[in-house]
Amino acid sequence: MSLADLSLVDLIGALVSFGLTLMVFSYVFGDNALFRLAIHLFIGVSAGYAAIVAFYNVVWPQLLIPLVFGPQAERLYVLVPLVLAGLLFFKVTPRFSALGNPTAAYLVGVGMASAVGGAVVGTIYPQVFASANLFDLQAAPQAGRLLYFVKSVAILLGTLTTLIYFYFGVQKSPGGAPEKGWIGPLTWIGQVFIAITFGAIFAGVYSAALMAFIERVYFIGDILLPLIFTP
Amino acid sequence: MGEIRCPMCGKPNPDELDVCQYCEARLKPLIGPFEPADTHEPGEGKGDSVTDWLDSLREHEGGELFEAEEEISEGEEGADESPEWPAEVASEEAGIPDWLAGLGKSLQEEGETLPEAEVGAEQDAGPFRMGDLGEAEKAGEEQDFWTAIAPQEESEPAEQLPSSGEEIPDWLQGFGESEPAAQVESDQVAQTEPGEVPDWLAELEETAGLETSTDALEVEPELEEIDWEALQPDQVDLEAEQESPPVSEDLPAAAPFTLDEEEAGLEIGEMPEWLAEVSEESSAEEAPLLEEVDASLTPAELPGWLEAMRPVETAAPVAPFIEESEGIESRGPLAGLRGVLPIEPEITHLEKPTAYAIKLQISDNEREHASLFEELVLKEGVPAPVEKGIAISPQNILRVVIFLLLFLAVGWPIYIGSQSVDLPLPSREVNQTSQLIDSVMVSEPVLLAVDYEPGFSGEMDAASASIVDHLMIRGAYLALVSTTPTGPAQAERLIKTVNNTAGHAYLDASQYANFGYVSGGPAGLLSFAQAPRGVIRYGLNGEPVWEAAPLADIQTLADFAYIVVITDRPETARVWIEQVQPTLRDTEMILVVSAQAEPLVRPYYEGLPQQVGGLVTGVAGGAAYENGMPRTILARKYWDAFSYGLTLAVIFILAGSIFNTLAGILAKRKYTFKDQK
Amino acid sequence: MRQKIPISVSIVIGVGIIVLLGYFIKFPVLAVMQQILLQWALTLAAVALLVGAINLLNVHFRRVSGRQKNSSYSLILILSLLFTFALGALFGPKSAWSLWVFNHIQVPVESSLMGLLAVVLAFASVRMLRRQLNLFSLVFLATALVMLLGAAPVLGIEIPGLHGPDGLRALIAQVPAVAGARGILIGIGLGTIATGLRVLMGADRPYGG
Repeated sequence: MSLADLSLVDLIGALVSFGLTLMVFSYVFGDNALFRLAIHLFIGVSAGYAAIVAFYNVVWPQLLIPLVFGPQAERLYVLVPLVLAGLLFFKVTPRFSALGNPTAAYLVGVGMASAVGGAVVGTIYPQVFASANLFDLQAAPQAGRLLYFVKSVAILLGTLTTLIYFYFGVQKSPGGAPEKGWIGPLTWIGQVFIAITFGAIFAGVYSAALMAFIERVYFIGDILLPLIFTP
Repeated sequence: MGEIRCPMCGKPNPDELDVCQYCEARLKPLIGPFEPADTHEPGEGKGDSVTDWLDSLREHEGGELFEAEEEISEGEEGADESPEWPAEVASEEAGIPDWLAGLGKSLQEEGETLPEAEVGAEQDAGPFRMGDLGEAEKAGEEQDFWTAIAPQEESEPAEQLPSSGEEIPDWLQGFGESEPAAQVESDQVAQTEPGEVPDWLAELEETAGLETSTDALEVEPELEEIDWEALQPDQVDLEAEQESPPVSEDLPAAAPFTLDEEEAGLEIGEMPEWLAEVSEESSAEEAPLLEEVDASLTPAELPGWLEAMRPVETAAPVAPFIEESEGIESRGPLAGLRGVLPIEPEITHLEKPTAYAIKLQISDNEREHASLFEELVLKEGVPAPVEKGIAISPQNILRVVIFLLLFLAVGWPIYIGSQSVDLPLPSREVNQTSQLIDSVMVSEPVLLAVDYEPGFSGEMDAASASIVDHLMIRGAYLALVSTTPTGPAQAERLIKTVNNTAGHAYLDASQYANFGYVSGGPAGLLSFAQAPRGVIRYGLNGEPVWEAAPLADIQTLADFAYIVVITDRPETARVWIEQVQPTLRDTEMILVVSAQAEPLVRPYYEGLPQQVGGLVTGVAGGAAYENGMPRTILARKYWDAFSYGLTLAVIFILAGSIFNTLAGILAKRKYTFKDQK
Repeated sequence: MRQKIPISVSIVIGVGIIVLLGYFIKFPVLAVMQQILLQWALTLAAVALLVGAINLLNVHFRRVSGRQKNSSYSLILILSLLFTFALGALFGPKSAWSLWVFNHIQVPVESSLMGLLAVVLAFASVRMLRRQLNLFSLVFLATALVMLLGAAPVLGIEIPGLHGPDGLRALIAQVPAVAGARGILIGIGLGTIATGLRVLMGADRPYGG
């Protein structure tokens, strides 16, 4: 990117972005006013943009247009969400906050039902089925069936021991005595698998953060380098 | 109308009353001369030392006494105030106690007379209820009984009353040894001849504080001269009695009927000095307290007894009043005796209640402790000033060093324009994704869900740019949607970036449509999956999106060729898989996820049957995808910097772990060594 | 004994049952009812987002009017929010002005914050083993190192056995990590079912009922 190729608006935007990037990076040296300024500006912009998208994309076409321009049937159809939406605005005032409880209850009821249904249909059933299908030899490759079988055993063992740890091992206090009997070693194995999974997650988080850092450094370079090395 | 003075409380009562209107004591005896329960005829029971001498006295003076009674009764005829009971008593032949009879005898011998009438009176009224004798009635003056029967003040203490051959009872002997107490002077005390007062009587007089008069002991002249009213116990002011302090411990243990020489000059009803001083002090204490209380408010009129109960702010700890059981009885027939049960019930004794202070009495030590405690409590609410630490601490320096090193590690390839690091080979899942997208036909609608935050733009743009490029190369009609409010803007940014970097010209409406934002999370996605036209009525700018030809046949999400979900969070990917994937029939779902979401998304890809048809994870996946594409977009640009940055991060973690592990081991050894020492 | 059930609980139970049954019972009427309830919920969720923005304005407006400490930052937040909303209301969220604000303010700041995370994570991982040194933390650290090293060539050099589709990194990602993740996913699903059923039965009332 060359600064000269940018229009005035884009140039101003680039300079604003550059300044904000440096203001946020100043946090490395400690909390300061510039960092706070940038954060508050960011929060305001993101909240404002989210609000306008929600209004433009959902409230206006789903609620107001049918109410104003729609036929009678559609007006009756949106009457219920209109009333519930009106009640929800009372949540802003502490005094009349209770009036918004029915709407909150509606949202919670629908959301919870969706979550429960999705968990059963989309995760538990398929994943349990997948664990059972690990030993489907028809799906195994022709070469390396033994390795496939070993992998399947390891995956099944890891899945079961992880679940055993969650439901039997976690109930104990973290530093408490281990479970007696055969549950104890299984929870220990489950902890190992969980440690591996979390290690992989940590590596992924660091990779993502590093990429963001690299992208910002590139941006700074795109701004500064042409200024430094302008012929 | 005549008056009778009550023998108990000493207050005047009309003579027609039988009981005192103040204390309800009998004013007139019911029976004749006093007899104990096991009384006996005069002269009998000579073995009884108490009554023998009284009986003998009676024998000697029986006639004289009755004569006196007659005179009394004669005197009564002329005076309304004359008591009736002496006549009643006289008419009865009730025996008098021996001791009283003996008293009369001795008095006679000494020149003292004892009217038997009064001796034979009721116990409560007592023989001491002298009533109104003739002369006293006429005089209308009170006459103290004791002064009537006692010798003069200046008279020498009388000898002990000789008994009729009996020894003087011990209890009576003890009376003579007591010290004088209060002294009352009587104007009309029947005088006895000086020196004629028996010793025991003089001692008794001293104890009782009464002036004795030998004249009162003469029978005949006494009967005429004695003013029975005057012989009543002192009319002590009740209030004075209430305010008076307890009986002094200095009171004699014995010897009633004796007078303190110093107090001999007191008038009847006049308070002794000691009593007056005490009452002044107590009133002086109360006055300032009352003044303080009344400063701000109009003092209410409280009855005295209530006023006395008022709690005071400060009061010296006063021991509760303990009635001296060893006090000398001052009234009644047992006057002068010590250790007797009170005739009056205690309830009639109105004493000043103990003053309890409402202010907490604490010592200096306790006050000091309380102030210390208060200081501690107050300090808790005040945050202690925290000393500002050193601005540049080792942690700050380490953080700055890490930042600078990272900046150099990733900036150097940028500065030199390095693209030397090889792109990774495509993995199984990347190949599968590529194969799926390769099967997209021109203008086939592909739903592109851009569900990552602007903060992950660097990674997700690098991971998804090649896939979007591939779709654009295939000519797919892209329907952009998002479940985050910033998603639509991110989608526009992505299209613009791919357009700019890959040289495409995907324009609005003809090649792609931005559906905008689907709210509601899982519920919204399920609704969108089942009825997308109902959820998305207009595009992001209000344009009608469903009018585009590629979208004409779209009724559900299953009508799309592929669903490509680009997200940074495993939760978003899970929601898409749970809510949308079950509704897709043959439509494959492709996930482009961040490296942090890969571990939790891969089970959906690795499971059988697969819930996710294709998977591209992070910059590495994007780079691997680009490696199979004819051109590179963003992953190639960042790959060198990514490689160096990751290497440096690994070096940081390794070095730090080794250093901290060694430091921990050394510190443990030191600690253990110190313990062993 | 009759027990009063609040209106909110009745709503939760009623709509929850209809939506949940729609997942398992394919009945036209039930599907229509489910769809209606879902679309209403979708609309109300957007309204809830607006309410959240209004509440944010309210909170910071109180700080400014109360002249609390750091109220100047709150003023900046209020102004930027209102400006962005006004820009989108006037020109649309897809307009050049709205996208300019998004691209040159929101994206750089959020990306910079993510970039800072790389520095902070590196700093934290340097001191990781100082706090806790046991087998699980060692396994965690070792896995992280292998995954990081295997994600990209080390100083431009690919290590055989580590990198590539058949390398150690791929093996760890495909077997033990999948095993642990599958257990976690099933556990999350079971927990979601338990929590959801408690709410749908009215045992838990997070909505203030």
